[in-house]
Amino acid sequence: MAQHGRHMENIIVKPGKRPGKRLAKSRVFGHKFAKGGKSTNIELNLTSMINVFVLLVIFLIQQFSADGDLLFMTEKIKMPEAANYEQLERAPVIQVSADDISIEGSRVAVVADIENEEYWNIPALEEQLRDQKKAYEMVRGSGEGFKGDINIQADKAVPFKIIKRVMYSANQAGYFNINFAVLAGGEGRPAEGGAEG
Amino acid sequence: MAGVSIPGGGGGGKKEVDLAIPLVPFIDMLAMMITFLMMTAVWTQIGKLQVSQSGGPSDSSSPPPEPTLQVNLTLSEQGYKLAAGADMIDIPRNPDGTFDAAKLVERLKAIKKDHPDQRAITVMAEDSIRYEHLVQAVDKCLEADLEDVTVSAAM
Repeated sequence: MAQHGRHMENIIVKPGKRPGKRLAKSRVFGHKFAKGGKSTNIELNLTSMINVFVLLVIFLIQQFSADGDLLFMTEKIKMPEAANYEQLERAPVIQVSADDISIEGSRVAVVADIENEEYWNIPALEEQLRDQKKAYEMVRGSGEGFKGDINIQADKAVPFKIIKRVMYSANQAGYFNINFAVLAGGEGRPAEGGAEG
Repeated sequence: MAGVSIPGGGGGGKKEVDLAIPLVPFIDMLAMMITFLMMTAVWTQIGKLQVSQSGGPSDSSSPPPEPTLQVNLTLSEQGYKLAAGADMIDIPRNPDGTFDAAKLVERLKAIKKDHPDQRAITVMAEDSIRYEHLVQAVDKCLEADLEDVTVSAAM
């Protein structure tokens, strides 16, 4: 009876992968088929993950700027680079691309139309700037705190012929502090107050 | 998981002395911070070069300028032309067509060394000069500590 029981044990086996007798005894491969020896619970290595997170947060905080976007970057305007820049401040923005001139996003002149004109100012631009100045003075009181700042965001390929007319129009409208918007770059050292934003 | 085990404490104590730091809320907070900072990150750094235009009023808050040397820098198709008082120096373009900015800085620094009080310079450009070359010239003037840059059209 006992012999019969042992015989049955050899015949009835659990389903699943089984090694051959020789392989089961192998030192190299034998343990692969061992049952219940190893725990299947894996603990995540959180320390390195937290390290990465903390480094990312530090890097992103360094990049953070509370000023927000002062300029609207477009494909049409590729700004020149400069190293000795100061921090850009909020002021009306004149955008000069190879095709047109805009102020605060609204187009005021087409470059092809004004290119061959003899006089220096651009009347539509000057009028818009005067309106902006009036609106500023109405809100803040006449002349109080008006510094006459204007930012010129121009494409680097635009000829000086157009830039001088934009500058002249700004000057005529009462904006005397002209700022050329530039991308940080090039060789040299940033000016005082620069490289903060 | 992170935990702190305080050794000792007596054998008779009934309270558990192992302390587990709750890392899950900490990771949540870091993930939220990363998301927020990624959304608000400024990847392009923008600055300004302040210039004035010839004929504009001078700033009333600044002291009146002392009589100094008249320094003019002219940008033309041939290159830079630097005039400091009676001296005039031509800095032709490089063979590859670029402006010789290194030589310009060298000359401007020499002027600044001879006249430490000099702050003003007038940059004049011909109509055909590209805006990037004008900006480069203004940038080099600022590098040489000539901070009051006036931009004007070349006559």
